[in-house]
Amino acid sequence: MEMATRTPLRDFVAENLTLRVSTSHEGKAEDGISLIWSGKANLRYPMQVLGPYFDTLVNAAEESGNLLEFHFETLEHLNSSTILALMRLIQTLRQKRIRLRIFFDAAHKWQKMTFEALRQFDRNDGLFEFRGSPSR
Amino acid sequence: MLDRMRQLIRLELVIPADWDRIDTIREGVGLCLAAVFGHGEIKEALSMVSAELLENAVKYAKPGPSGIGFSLRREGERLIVAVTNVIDETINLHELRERIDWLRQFADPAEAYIAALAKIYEQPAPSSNGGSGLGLVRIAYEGGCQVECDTSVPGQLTVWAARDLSQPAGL
Repeated sequence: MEMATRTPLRDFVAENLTLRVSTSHEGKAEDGISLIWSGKANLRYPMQVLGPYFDTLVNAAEESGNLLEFHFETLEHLNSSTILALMRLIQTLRQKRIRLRIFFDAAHKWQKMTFEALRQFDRNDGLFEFRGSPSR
Repeated sequence: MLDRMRQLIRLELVIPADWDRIDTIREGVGLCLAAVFGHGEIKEALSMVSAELLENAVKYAKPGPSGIGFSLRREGERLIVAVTNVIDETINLHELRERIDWLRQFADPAEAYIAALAKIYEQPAPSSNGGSGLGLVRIAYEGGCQVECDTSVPGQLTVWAARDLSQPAGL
């Protein structure tokens, strides 16, 4: 039997930011990929730095259920340049019909304001879901 | 006298135009604000505002030995964050003024932020690293600040954000 070749997906670390591929996080995607964002997303060139990783992530998602979960609950800071990079990823995911669930901590006002605003890209097509919950 | 000095804050720095310094200042500003106003929304909002203004200054400052001026001060019922940098002729100040004027059109900064996100989302070609003006709109929306710029000194740009302490925060 031929084994399917899967895109290897590793954790990502750049400066103050870590994206960890979760295998045990609560709420992790049943049949997809769960990514825990932690530290500070304050890269100067997030498109260049995160872009290649996002490409790998999209490929991996296509091979594993077309579902991504992003957990931002423990992220300390997110600059506007990284918000732009996230929006570009959201565009790509929509084009490829990959579902994205975003988890954030609504007890942190900045997270609530940032991610509530991104809800406008939820077109009620089941592709994007936002879950704001208080810290566990 | 002590009553008049209640919740006074004044911080002035000149730093190298170095991206790596920004987070140190963001955290330092947050600690100063927490010391004066507590670990609340003011701290969270104004530390983000400081970082966004400094990021713009570092991105667009004229290369050279000149530093970037940063100040945080209270004036009456307003907290003001101001960032000053030396600019060269290639910087499009008209575009900056247009963005600030555009922002002023919105009575509710949340509407401006939503509109800015939608505009960026609809752009077919991404503007790769900033230049979208999202940071300024975020300062108004998340930071609850009025944004202005001052170009009265030739070759120098000051962008400041003012937060009205007498007004409740948004959202």
